[in-house]
Amino acid sequence: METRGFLTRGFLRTGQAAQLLGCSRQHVVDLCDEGKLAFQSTGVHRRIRREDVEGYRYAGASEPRREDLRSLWLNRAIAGKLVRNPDRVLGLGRRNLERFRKLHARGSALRWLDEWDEIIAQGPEAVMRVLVSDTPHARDLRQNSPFPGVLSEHERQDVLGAFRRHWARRPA
Amino acid sequence: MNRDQLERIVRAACRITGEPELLVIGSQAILGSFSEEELPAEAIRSIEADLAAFDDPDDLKADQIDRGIGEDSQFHATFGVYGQGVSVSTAVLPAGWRDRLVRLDTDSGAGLCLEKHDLVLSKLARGDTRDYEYASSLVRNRLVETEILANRLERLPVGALKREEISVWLRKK
Repeated sequence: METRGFLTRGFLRTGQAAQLLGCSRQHVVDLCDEGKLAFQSTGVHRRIRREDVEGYRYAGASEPRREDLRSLWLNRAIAGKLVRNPDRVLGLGRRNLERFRKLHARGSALRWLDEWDEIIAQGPEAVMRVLVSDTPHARDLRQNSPFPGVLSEHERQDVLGAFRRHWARRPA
Repeated sequence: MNRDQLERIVRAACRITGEPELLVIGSQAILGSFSEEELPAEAIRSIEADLAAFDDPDDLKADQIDRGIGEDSQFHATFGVYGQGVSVSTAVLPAGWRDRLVRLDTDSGAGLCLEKHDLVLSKLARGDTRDYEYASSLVRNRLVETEILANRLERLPVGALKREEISVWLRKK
């Protein structure tokens, strides 16, 4: 991964993220390793999106929206499929991306498709991080997901039904 | 997303819910006011459209939309776009917004899209990085007027700090 591309695309070094969060660089590294902060790797260094650092900073300030949590549930189910058969899931993602490029010839949806291309090329771990992370950037990526068709319709309806029951039981 | 794609989503959502009209909120509502050729790329950035039924206290209709044409559905797989069922209360909007909705007719029902200034104010009320980018792109391309935004800000139900933050942002534009 080209470092310059990261720095010019709103990515921060761990030291910069630490300044923003008011903590040590080691703490930022720990947050990355614990999966609490999404990052991309240049091989040696971690690079973190500014949006995700800001999202972490303000985490807990407000309740997640119902539709965001519902989407997260669907993507956790897709993650379950990914760990069982990564080749199938990533292959389907690539094929969907190829089709979707023709459907979205204009608009910044293409930016999301390009980014998904990069993430899928990094392999199942990178895809997993996006599918289950609660950062703002991961939510944006999931909204533009290339994984329709991974879940069968029956599985998808099961997840949506389970989510509806879960949401109804939340304390008022 | 383009206007044809939004119409396809609205048509399908009206059929699924049996509603003659559905509210279109979120970024894609701008397609009610402008065609995609008139809009900057940042304004048509998503493949999903948020739709809400006006009378849906238990989110039943929102869930119907999601089940039928939502994320990861066959509709999504086929058309590369999808509808997301949400609540009318999802957006913070200035008083009088219902009187300013912009109608997008299909042969199965209508999408009532947020008026462009109401849409921008709802984004500013939410106020994350992406929302400010969206609002900036419309202001920069003179598709909304800062004077109207500033006047309507007074009727936006937000706290004093948020109102001041938005006001400062508008003054810089």
